[in-house]
Amino acid sequence: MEFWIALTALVIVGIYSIAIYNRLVALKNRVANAFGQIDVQLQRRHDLIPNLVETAKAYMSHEDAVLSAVTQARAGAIEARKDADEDHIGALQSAESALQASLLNFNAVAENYPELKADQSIIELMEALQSTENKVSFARQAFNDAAMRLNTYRESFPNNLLAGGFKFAEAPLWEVESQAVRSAPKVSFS
Amino acid sequence: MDFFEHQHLARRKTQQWIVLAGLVMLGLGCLGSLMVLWFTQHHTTPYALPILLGLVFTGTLAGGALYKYLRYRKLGGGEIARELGGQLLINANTPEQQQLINVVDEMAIAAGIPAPQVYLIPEVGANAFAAGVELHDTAIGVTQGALDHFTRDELQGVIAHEFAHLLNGDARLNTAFSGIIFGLNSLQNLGRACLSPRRRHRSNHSKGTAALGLLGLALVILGSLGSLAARLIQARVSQQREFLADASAVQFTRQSQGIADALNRLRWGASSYIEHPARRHHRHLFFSESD
Repeated sequence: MEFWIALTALVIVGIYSIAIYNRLVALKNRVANAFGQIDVQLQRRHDLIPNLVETAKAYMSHEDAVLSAVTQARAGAIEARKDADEDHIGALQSAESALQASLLNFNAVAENYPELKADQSIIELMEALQSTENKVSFARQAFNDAAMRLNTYRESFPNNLLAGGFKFAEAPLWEVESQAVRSAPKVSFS
Repeated sequence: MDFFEHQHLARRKTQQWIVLAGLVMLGLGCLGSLMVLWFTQHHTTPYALPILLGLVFTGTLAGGALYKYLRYRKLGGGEIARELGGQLLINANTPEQQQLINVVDEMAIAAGIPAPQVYLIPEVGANAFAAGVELHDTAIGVTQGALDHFTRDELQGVIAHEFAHLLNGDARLNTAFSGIIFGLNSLQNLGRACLSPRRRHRSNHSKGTAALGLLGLALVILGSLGSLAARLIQARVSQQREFLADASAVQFTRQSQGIADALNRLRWGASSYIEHPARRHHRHLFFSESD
């Protein structure tokens, strides 16, 4: 009798554990998928920037510092993107923030060049960049939602016992307010 | 609330409204039968007329509505856009069109649903709508006037509003209403055909003529009453859902200025009039008054 009770209890615990484990896997995959969505848009942004810099050069020959800052920030972001995955976003996050800041600075300086702002290909590139920027931020929101759902689930009891045992790490959130974006863009009138 | 739970709730609410609309139509059918029954007591028309009316009424209305609804489900929301003269927008020819395609793609990511087809409606008035039965086969229609009048942020707000309709299942309900309105129109057309003088002239049975005329008159009256009822139900639904869609638009875009500016622009000047005659069948779909 005791044997059967023990066996039944064991089977129930086993099935319950399997359900928790599978749910953890599903949530983890959703986070990975959400990161993939961000990654696609970041790649698109990195692809657009050389065109922007090349086209802008013709109008802003005296703004080498601004343009090379954008180019450098892009190179840094590409480097950071290589090593990033859904569990390691810290470096990518700050590199992207730096890129964002350099683009904001570029936009501010570009205000002084009406001909640049009227250039048809610049208008198209600006629209493409803005759209990509919006997509990045919406995809980031989806990533954070997915990460939060995983974190809440893995920290709840008794899921945390299993999550700890199988090394389901806490998913990082993609914070927007990093130092680089918060600082106001420096407008240079030189 | 989880996305799927949200969808489930929306679907159930939609079903409740459809059932209500069906019951109202059934009530109208009974009313019509009683009306004719009362007539036949005083005249020498055939006694089977009330039953005939009931059958014709139910058959035409339910058949027409179901036919149209299933057609929209099969062909996707794009069918409604095409009825309104819309053209599928795949490759942009102008910067404004590119902007529209971009904004729709952005909102698809923000709302977390598949991107709908984009239809450009060649109208001067600034307006937009969303239609479709299945979430993977929907369409958003935007007029040329909307592209001309709205700034990027305003357009984003309007598109986000339409995405909310897709997500909340309002587009499905509105598409079903388009089906019901098609059924009611068929009813009135049939009634008018029965009343038409040409038909009356050809028939030389005075009894049959009177019966046909009575049937036609009853169908036209019931069709008008039905349209009124459909519009009342629809207005009640809209009242609940438009504010929700505006709120969702703010949630998706994370800014309230876009949708607010767009609404103000329509309020203080910009026309949202739609010229295409099919607007009469789909006026409940539009973001802003279509006539």
